[in-house]
Amino acid sequence: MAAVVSQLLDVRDRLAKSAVTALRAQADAIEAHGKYEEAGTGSNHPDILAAVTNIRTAGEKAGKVARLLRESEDYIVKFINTIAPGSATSTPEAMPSGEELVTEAAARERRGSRYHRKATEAAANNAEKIQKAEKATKEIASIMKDRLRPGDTQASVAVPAKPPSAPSQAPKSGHPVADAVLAAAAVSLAVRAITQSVKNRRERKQSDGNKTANN
Amino acid sequence: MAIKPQIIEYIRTFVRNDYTANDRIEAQLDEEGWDGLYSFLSAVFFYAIDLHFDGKRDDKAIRRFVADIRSENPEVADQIDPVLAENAIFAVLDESVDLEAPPETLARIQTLGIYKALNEANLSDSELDELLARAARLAES
Repeated sequence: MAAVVSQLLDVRDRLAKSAVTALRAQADAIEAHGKYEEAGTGSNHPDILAAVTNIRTAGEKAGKVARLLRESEDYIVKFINTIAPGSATSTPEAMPSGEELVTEAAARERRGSRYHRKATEAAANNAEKIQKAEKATKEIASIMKDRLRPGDTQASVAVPAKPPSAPSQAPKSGHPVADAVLAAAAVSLAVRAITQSVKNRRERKQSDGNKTANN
Repeated sequence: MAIKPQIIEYIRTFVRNDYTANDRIEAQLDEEGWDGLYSFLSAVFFYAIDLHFDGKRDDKAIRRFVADIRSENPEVADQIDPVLAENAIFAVLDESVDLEAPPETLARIQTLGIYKALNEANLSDSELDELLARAARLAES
């Protein structure tokens, strides 16, 4: 039973993370929607109108996904506490609020604009500097490509083309819907394990009972 | 300035190690011009680094990241000044930091940083496309 509870606790953590990812997606969509609406003011171009509508829908749907994931998490916690009282609490880590996430997304966009301005202003209106920068990128890309080409003798000593993932990157929250599917699969496995364990216990009892009757 | 789809494709195929497609796009851009590459590269670098470090400045992790870039790319290690490379990453994560590297040096740092950060992020195709589209919007703004 302990293994099942621990499996369900994993599911709870995964659902909580997925809900945060969905909330972030919602915050990003709200941010993007604002930008596009601003950019599209005065434009009736169907592409802009379609983009604005889709972003709004995406934001609403991401919000709904986040809410459903939170509710699933609450149900799982309730279930764990039924089978093993006191072993689960809701939301293992503090959940950022929707508003905090919108602020976070806006701060990132502002930081991005500032970085981009700093990176490009030194080369602004300076064709020679820009060309040198472009050449530098092409040279690096060429070196990387040469490592991958078949028959390249350097390839055997060079670093692998795709460096292994840093472990810290692995648990980065993935797609909330995909995570929810995995969580559902894990719940179903856990429930099957519980059913099996109850069945085994019943069978044992029955066989003990039979033995007693026979004696 | 609008970012040409070929520029986006050039970076996408570079990150994905699709050298055949990258060669083809490179030849095409050599004919048509590389306008926007540096601006787009700077925007992609921002999002790639922001993703890798989860938007937080962690000096120890940044120093390790730069050291890894240099050891994984021995052919260009001597062209990458670790202090300037670390400074570029600090500038992404910390608004108060000024960029010290000139464009040519920064282009090298950014290209290698993008390659490492985006490969280690294990993004799906749609996630990578989304990041590149976001970067194109930043470069165009």
